[in-house]
Amino acid sequence: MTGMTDPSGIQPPSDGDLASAYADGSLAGPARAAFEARLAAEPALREQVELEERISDSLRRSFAVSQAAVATSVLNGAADDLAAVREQAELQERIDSTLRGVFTVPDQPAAAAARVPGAGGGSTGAARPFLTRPFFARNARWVAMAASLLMGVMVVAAVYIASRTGPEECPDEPFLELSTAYVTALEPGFSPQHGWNSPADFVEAIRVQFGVNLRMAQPPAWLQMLGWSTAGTAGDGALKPPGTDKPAGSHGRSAEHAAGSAQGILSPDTMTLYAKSGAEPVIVLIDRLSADRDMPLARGSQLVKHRIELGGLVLYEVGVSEKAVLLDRFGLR
Amino acid sequence: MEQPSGAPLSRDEFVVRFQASRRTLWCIAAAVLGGRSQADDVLQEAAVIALAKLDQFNPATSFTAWMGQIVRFVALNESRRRKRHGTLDLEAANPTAREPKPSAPGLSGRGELLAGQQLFDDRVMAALNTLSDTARACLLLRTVLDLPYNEIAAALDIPEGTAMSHVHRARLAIRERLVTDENGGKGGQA
Repeated sequence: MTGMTDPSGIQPPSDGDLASAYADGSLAGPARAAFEARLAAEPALREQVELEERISDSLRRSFAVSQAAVATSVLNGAADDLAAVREQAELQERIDSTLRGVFTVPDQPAAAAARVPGAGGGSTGAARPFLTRPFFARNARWVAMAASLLMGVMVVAAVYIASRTGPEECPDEPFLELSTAYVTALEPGFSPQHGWNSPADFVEAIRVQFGVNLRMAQPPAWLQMLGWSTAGTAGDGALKPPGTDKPAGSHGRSAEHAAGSAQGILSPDTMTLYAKSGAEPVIVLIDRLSADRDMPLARGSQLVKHRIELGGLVLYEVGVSEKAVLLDRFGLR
Repeated sequence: MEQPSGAPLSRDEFVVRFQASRRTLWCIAAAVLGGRSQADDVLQEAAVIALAKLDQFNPATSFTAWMGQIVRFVALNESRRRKRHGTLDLEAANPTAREPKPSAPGLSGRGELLAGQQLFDDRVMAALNTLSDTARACLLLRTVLDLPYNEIAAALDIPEGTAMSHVHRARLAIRERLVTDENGGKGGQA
């Protein structure tokens, strides 16, 4: 039917048009039914539709990553982000206002009075702020951004200085978030303290650590199980910041704090399971539910986190897969 | 020039509307940029600009359309800035340089083998980037977000028929490009 012209002179849709409309969902009613009947009988047509569907799937895949990134780094934190945006805009307004006040040059003696509502003054107009129109009106935004940047640098410096101080100044919040935990787990060679033997061994370790009886299905062959690390026994598998010998989160802090915030991402008892899905490392953090807190990923991170609760435990899987590859293998015994 | 009518949008109202439109706006930014790289930054900058111009928004009109215009403007500026400074979007220029896919290598979410999926995705991205900004935006809003055509038209401030036409022609162009690539020929046209 491709390319045929009916007696009315209107060219009917080509198979490509129909395949596109079908994939788009805009082919409806009898036309859809007729097209589906053709699909069943014409492999070439079916191939076109399948290609359309593959293209759609590909687009969703490619842009779903970004959606996830937005969802985790921006959407979930939209209130914070937008609060920051609002603060920035408010700061800009304050700076504008200050600049106008500071650089206002009265063009006649009564100008100041003229700016006061209700004041006479006899001015032909409000005082024109000095430099405001030609320069600052155009550049106030950059001035505001520069000021924000300066403030940001000062905050970073303050945080850095605070991190170098003694344990009495350590904040209570754990230092690591999930992305850092993931990255730092890779740094020492992604080598856990305990090698992997079997799911039974691992759930036994969980039982010893937390007193909870879990079961774990045998992982498939494409999942390479490496082993696990437990907190409080800092060894080769301890999470450390890249390029340092200190456990992550220590940064000159006390040993107690380091232990609590490095391997013990949620608490000093956190267990970390190490695996590889193909070439991609996957970690699972396990701790008591009572130690759970909001575990964010770094802003803009392409990592994906999955979370389940089992028998009073919380399990976080961190990796690049949109679907959990390890968590669904756990259950209660 | 259209004059605002009614009470101006408060900042809190802006936040609510911005959140509601965020996915659509993100898709528009990604479409204009030709990839997801820096779409978040563009959105952030657009939000700052919009907040500064909030008194110019007419609450009786579509917020998404108004915000969409700002996002497109900012994204176009960013795109031009990249060209001016000779900076390349690695994703668009070399799709294989992309960050890892959110699925286990060689496996779908259902554990099925997907041989050549990465290559196929790269070809689709390359074909996508031969389209116009508007066509890309229409296609992404339709395919990724499943938006109805009237919403796509509203978001991009174009007629509904134009949005449909863009999506249809974009699909055909990508398919044609893929088939041409498959046959070892030169790419198709946008």
